[in-house]
Amino acid sequence: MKLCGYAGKVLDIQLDGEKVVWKTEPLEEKILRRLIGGRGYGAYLLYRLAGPTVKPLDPANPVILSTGPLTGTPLAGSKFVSITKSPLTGLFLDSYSGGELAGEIKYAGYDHIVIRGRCAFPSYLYIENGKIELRDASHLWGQSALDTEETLKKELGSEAKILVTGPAGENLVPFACVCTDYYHQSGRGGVGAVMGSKNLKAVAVRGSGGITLADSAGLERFRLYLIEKFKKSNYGELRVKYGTTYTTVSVSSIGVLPTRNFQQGTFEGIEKINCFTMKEKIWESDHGCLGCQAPCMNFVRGRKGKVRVAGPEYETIALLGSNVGVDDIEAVAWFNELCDAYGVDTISCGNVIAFAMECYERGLLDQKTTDGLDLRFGNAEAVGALIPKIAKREGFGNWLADGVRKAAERIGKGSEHFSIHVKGMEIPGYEPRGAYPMGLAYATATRGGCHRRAKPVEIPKNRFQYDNFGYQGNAEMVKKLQDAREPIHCGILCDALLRFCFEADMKDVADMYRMVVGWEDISAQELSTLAERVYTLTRCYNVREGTRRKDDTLPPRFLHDPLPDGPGKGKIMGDDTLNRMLDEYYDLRGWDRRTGVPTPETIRRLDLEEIVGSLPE
Amino acid sequence: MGTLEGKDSGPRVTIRFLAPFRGRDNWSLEVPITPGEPLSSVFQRLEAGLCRELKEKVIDPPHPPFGVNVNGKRVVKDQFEQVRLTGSEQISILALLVGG
Repeated sequence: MKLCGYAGKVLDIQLDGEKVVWKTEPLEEKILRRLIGGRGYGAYLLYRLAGPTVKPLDPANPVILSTGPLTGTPLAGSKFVSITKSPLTGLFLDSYSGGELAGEIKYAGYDHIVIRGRCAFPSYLYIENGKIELRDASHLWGQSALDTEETLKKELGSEAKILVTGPAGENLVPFACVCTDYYHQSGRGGVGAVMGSKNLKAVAVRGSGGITLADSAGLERFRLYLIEKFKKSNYGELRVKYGTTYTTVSVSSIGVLPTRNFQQGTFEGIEKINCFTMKEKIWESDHGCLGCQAPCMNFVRGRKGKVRVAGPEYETIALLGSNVGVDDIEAVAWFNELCDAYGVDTISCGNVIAFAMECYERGLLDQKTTDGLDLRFGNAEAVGALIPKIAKREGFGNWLADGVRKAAERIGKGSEHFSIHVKGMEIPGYEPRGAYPMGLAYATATRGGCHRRAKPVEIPKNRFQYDNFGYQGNAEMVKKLQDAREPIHCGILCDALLRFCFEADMKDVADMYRMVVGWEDISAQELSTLAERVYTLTRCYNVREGTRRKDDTLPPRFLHDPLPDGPGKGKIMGDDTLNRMLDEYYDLRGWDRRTGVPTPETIRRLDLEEIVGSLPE
Repeated sequence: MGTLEGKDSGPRVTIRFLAPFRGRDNWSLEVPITPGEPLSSVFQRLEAGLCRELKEKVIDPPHPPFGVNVNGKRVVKDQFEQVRLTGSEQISILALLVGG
């Protein structure tokens, strides 16, 4: 079978001590249109390969690098997704990255690369047009992510596209990320630790193949149509100028900016770390992914102006700025630089440090425990000192290196109340007490505390009727927002580019599939059903791992403590509001209200029976 | 920071544009007011080009992509007539983009 848009193959690699065994399998035609690619087909592969007996750091847990039919085409914003069982949550994980690796995987002849097993010693994989080699990486072990890529580029040539993990991944920190093209990260959930557990420092890919398009002339016209939409969009200009950092302005204006471990929703020092200050004080140039008309990354000067840093993105400013009480944009850029070098997720890292700071200020930790660090909020030197200690599991850093849930278990003394995570994954930069729908989005995101499935903050009221401080309408909005991203995440293209710059709708996405793959009859309605199917499939994976309704909850602080400031001042979300939202949400998804398990009727309706079989109660 | 009407020492509000208006962003303007006047009338007194742009981006669309804050609190356009200014208010106009 050779469909346009696809390479047509899954590369299945088994690391076996000192050698590598591999085979290719054709994409399964009967599954393909049901799940398309990317997150959808990757979830299917994980479902098959990593059942409940496989632990995240077992050799059997695969790292799956998935692309989709839209990846590597002339459409801007190609991405790949790393899929695995997360060492942070023990659940389904998908973590996306831009850069050039996505296209290169396709050009090398594969849609998905599955990596299982374990190397006997530090190694890296070299993949080039059907040649797969396991090579010694002992000279790279211990090197920063940036240095590793630099060294490999010198050895392999600049055409090789490389995925690396940093020292945090080697040390099995469960929020270690993987990095590619120096400045792009699959940040969340610990893909780096899974690579580290395999003694796999890097994957280098070179490809010289191409991608056949069903209607290349039509796609070119469509590409120009998107550019015209971009010129007219409300937010494109801001997106290019500031990237995600503009969010500092909108989020702080509605009081949902995480501040001092989510104790507040506004930060008095926001003016010193917002997008305008970033642009004025440390900005050097724009940077974007291959072929993108809206380069949204910023290169900034690192500490002492010497190092070039990509970022900080909004989430980094929020979690390693206001959330640790630091009001110095140069310090935030320094933290970003450290996280990128050591290969840790800035969101989880900022959360776990903020948690330690609150423990310290409440007297649950003292300087004897913290290796002499004065962990009061706002102490930038202490934050900068802690990041390498976490990545290296050194001293007090090892207390924090397993994430905030584990840190709270270790510290105890009531600290669980303010350990900010959902299902073990630390929360990103949106305080849900100032936007209740965001609480539902966190509670129901399949990878845990995550903003990338739905972000119901500042949604225009013409799109949805919802209640920021109640429950009515929230479930429907969250479900629709989650579903809107699925066809893009199966593609895989940059959903931010499509939503903010091109203001693309489901019909536009269907048109892309029609012109790339040749599915003449694909419709927006079919993609809506696909979205429900993929979302429910990832839920089924988590159900098989033991997730139930009781796990779809929020940190006690969000449910029971009033927000002290901002428009949400004094509001308490409460269990009742969350439960009402969950009831409606499960009804809309066709999941059982009592258990949160997809019903047999839903499994049948979504044509998932042969994939998931029968689910436990 | 610009001032709308020269050296007036009376009550005034600051309007900060945190999104592109008149071709630039992150700039502000001081506007003299009469205490008790509504927010809507302040917008109408801005120079013609700016006033037109505000109408296009904030006042006329049924669901504007830009928001208005007065002293850090969001004010929707239906409230522009009811919000009465006393002087010294900080008014921000910002894009509602949330794309972190």
